[in-house]
Amino acid sequence: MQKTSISGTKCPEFDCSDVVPELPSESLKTQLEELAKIRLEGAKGTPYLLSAQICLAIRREQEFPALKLLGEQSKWPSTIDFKSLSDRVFFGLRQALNGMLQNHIILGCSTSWTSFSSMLTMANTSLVQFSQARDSTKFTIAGKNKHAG
Amino acid sequence: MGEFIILATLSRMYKDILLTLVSLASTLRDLSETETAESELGDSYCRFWNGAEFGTSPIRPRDFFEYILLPETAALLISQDLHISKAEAYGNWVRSKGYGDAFNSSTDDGMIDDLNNENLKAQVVFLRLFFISN
Repeated sequence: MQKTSISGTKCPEFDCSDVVPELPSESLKTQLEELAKIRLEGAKGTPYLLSAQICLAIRREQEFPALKLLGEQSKWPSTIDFKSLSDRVFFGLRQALNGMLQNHIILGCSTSWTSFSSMLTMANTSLVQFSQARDSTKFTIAGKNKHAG
Repeated sequence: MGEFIILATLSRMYKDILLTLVSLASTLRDLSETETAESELGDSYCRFWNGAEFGTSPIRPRDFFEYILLPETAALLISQDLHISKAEAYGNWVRSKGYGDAFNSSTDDGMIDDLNNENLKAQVVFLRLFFISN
């Protein structure tokens, strides 16, 4: 079967004018193929969830070239040795991290603490309120740390 | 994916939650005393410490790991890899979130599951020892 190019295809959401980037990821390709298959089978309309997921993925992947350039300019590694990461933290950073947990001067002077406390202060939220808040509120106040690559 | 690995490793390093809570409560009490003494009564920084009670940690260890120790660990690792200061490394970590999310966020190779299993085993061993000694 002849493969057709999907780059340049319009986003399936009816009110979105975005187009599929030149080099879409494998997951986006799979989602688009899945949608095309559903349409070929004659299903009416567009599966709402799949269509919304594709729209989000297109928007996200449009930023890839700019992010790649930023990474190259900042000399960020394109691949990370994740296998050695756990040992590097467990054996190599234990002393520094213990200091954060046990010494208020080390903790108070650290960039991560000062940034965190500034974010909470700006949001007029106390440490106790933050701790008792829902995850979504914490995310709004202090940003995304998990799943940041 | 790096953040998941760091968090899983921190959970393994500080598996004694009780001890961690005691350390955290004591360190944060000292820090709040120092910081509130330096700020004007009622200013925004005083409000930051509102509600903190003596003997208990105003923040849960899970949140402390995620919002303070995790960024610190990431900054230390970046600082080692790129041979830059920790403050610069922290800036790099903040700026590179989108980049990492786009190019290094795959979690489907089983590495996270392996780490979680390792943590679970360590936790079971720790709890057994705890109950035997008590």
